[in-house]
Amino acid sequence: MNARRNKLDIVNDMLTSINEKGGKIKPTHLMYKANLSHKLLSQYLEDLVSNELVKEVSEGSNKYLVLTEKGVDFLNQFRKMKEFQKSFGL
Amino acid sequence: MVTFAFSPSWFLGIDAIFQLVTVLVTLLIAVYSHKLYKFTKEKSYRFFSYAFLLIGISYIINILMNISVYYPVIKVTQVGIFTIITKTFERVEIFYAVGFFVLRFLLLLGLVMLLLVLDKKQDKKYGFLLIYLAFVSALFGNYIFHIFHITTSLLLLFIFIYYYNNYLKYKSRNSFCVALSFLLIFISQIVFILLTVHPVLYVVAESIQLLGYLLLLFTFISILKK
Repeated sequence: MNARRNKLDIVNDMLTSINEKGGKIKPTHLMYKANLSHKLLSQYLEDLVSNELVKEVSEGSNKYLVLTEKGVDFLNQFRKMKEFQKSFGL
Repeated sequence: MVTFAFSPSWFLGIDAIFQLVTVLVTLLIAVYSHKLYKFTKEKSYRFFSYAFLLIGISYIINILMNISVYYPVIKVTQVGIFTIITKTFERVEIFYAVGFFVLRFLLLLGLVMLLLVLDKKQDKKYGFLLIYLAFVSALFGNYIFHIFHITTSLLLLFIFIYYYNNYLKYKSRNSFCVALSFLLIFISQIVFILLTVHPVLYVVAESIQLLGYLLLLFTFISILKK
């Protein structure tokens, strides 16, 4: 993980972490995988849920974060953007 | 991007189609880059978008200039009881001069903007100097067309060098294609400088330029398809 990540990079790291776990992850695992503090994770999760990139699902006593279709689309757009940035030297 | 008079007559119209492809490619890149600016709010995307937009507009003007540089003039002459109506085509000198200055300036401005975005130069003096150079080259390009093509070539050479280094950094197929595109566009400008040698060089230059922009389109599509 890059030490100087901007907001979009953090969102991408979070969504990638969920995607790598098959589209479903526990919040604690996400915190470690995306290298975030508890406070930052809560702030970003609020944004992700309100933008419908991620949804919260309860299974028994466990809470999971699930990647939505919009979240998958974000990951695709972000990957294309990074490729454009690299190829066109921006 | 050349003066109308250098084109062989059989190639007129075909060059407009070539340039239409260029317009399509530059506008596609401009629109996508603007979309990325809206998404990221990063200024580099905005100026990159403006640079390609300016290049696209200059080619649109070039196509229009080539089409409308000659306009029909209807003359009515009375000879006795007969009225003779003749239709001739005349060139509008002022329209021609202003139009070609504008399209040349926009193209150079686009390339200057592209170079400034890629170089990430923050110094305004450097920017103003390049814009002044673009203005002077566009202005004198109407009298000595070599000046315009030499300036364009120099700007494209610097852009190509930047993209070659970018390719060495990433070693990806797409970064290679972008570097190769700008090398082709640079070579086309060198051929444009030699136009007075033979009119067929206009066709060669336009074809190389088209290849460059088609490669840029291919790269752009392959990025979006990933």
